[in-house]
Amino acid sequence: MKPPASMDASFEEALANAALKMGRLRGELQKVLFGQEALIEGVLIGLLARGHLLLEGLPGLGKTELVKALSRAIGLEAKRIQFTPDLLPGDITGNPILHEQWDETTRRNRREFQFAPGPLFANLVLADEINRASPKTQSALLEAMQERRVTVMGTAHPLPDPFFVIATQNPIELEGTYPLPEAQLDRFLFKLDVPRAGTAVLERIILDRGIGEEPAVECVLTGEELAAFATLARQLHLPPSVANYIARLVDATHPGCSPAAQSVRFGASPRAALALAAASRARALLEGRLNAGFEDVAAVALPVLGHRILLDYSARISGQTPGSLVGQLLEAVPRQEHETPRLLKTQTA
Amino acid sequence: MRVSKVPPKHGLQSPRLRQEAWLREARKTALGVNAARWLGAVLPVFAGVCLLSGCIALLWRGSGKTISDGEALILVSLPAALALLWGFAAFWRTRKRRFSTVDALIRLDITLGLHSRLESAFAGVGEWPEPPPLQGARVDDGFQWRWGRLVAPVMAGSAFLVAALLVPIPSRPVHAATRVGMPLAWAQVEESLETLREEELAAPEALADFERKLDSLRQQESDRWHLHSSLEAGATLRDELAAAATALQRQLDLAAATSEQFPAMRPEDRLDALDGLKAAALPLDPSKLDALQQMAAQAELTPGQLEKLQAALKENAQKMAGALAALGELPEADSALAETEGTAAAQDAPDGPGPGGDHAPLGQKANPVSLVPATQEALPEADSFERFALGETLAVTTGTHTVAPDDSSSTAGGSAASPGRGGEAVWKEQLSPAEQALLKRLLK
Repeated sequence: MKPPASMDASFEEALANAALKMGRLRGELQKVLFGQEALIEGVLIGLLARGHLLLEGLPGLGKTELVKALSRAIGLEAKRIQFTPDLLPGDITGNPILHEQWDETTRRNRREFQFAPGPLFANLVLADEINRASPKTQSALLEAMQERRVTVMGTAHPLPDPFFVIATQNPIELEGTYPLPEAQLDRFLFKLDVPRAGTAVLERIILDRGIGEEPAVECVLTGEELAAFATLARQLHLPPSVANYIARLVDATHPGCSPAAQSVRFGASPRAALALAAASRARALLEGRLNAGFEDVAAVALPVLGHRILLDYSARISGQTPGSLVGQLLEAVPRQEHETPRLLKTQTA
Repeated sequence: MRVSKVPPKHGLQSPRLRQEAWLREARKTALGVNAARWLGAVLPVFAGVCLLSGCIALLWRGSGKTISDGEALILVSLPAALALLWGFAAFWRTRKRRFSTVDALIRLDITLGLHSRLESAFAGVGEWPEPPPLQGARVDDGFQWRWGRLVAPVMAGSAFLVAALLVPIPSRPVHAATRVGMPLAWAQVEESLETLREEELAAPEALADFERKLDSLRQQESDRWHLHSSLEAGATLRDELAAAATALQRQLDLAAATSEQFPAMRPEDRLDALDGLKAAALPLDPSKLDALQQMAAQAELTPGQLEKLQAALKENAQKMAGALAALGELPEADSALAETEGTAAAQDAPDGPGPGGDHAPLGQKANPVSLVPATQEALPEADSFERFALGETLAVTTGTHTVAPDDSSSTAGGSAASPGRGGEAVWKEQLSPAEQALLKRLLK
């Protein structure tokens, strides 16, 4: 069987180069955020899969710091928006401003609207505490995330490429907030939990950092390179058996499709399957492999599916969470579709 | 399932050699999985057909028939043949869902944690990975045989079939299973015949004749057993047997009574006195008759021998009475009679007789008066007739009444020969259970 045309030696070289540079980027981010390797890997996978990320964690765990370090390490233009209830859509997308200019031909002042881009017009947008903004503002963000463009007064304004939204939300102090609707949650590739650091990590933070000090981050990657790596990731081989596993895994999230999903109200969408495939490829690129595998799917299943599964009241009563459900699904859905003969027993999935 | 040895040792630099090594392992894994699937489809069928064949063999042998070598061979080879046929069908039916080499590569990918490198390499993406190091181990594809499930159906099915063919089965009377539900008269005849056979009272040929008649009745369809004609035939057969047994019993009683005079009689006369035992409709068992005749034929009968002879005659007479009891003791009829008798007894109670006074004439009694003469007297010689006075007993001979020994109709004095077989007998013997139930409902 002949290899695909794209999988030649230069492709493998480019892949090795990408893995190397992404490794450097990971190192730079680890200089800023101690003890958050899983979070950093999730962010890198999200970047390579060209997906938007939703970070959830308590205040002070370094979410904003991570985004700032990322923008410096990649050399991208980054902007930060603090979402508040009185934030209007125009505040993030930009507003048309009436501009008056002397026109020599008509010998009079000519007035016209000129679009003043908002903070969304950046490569990396940090939407801090996104759930505090009104639904109207959140929906304005929706179009920007999905279409990668902003429409104001009937005119579409494309956003810069690459464009990433990294939103954060606080799991506490939910009074006066507007929880993100399912449609908007589905636009985020990953929802990553930012865990609390342990004692050893805290000790290292205390020793290495001071309040107000900006850690030195070296720029190891350009925006163009990141875009090229993302393109490379899309070309990685996804074996048919892995694609089949993704399809069965997503299908099993729906009620009635698997014993584990009995307490699910709504399962994951086809967009989740696409996200799983893209994230698996991106993870393979991070590890310098030519193909994605079952292990990649299992590794990214929780951040991809966790926020896309809506549980019913019985799950809440029994203390089940989307995370635990995804874990059950990973155990329940066999990686290989073939049924094991009853005369054989399996040691592995 | 550790089916394969480890591929060649580390250091397969050639991609082609690595590919061959992995494909060889994959083919072995695929073969094992497909074999397990095929056996999983075939073994239950094999076990099922073994059980079926074993049941057939047990039923066949239980009915008293023997299984020839050819039939045993068919019963043994049938499960294997059917299982093989089923296996071919299963093999053909699942040909598109068979565990392929690619499936086996995926399996190895999963088990060995190779990040789908084998599947990708098979698709031409990337190089084949180095086979795992040798170290005396085997490539583990994650499968293990369940030996219990594999062996149990074969062993259980085969053991059952062999046991069904070889384990000795005690012969069982053919009609034992049909006793339930058969008419009462049949059961009585059967029980009486069994008693006679066990006690060796009657000649086997005569018993076989009765048994043949009973079998001819039993061989009818069971739904015809309770037809009037069938019930009537059963009752007639029972009456015939009862009459024959009664006659034999009387002959025994007669012989026992005559034996008091044996010391004074000549041996020939003694043998003549015993002739009635073999001339009856139900002759005495030949072996017992021979023994009696040998004792009676002795020239000088000692008191001990006479006593022994008399004891044998009385014993046989008692046994015959037992056999007759099986025919005469009709539980339901008895209870009906007991009710009648109980009423009469209550009427005769010393505390105060009830209304009605004495037994009504022609009432049903437990011990009816038999109109058949108990003994038959005859003159031994016509020329000696004038030597005897009237009223003197000349001799006692044996033999049955030649006119109508089993006549049950009224004969004289208006008394019935078969008392107690009026409405009750019709109720019990002439009506089928369904008709009885219907009549009961109607009478209610």
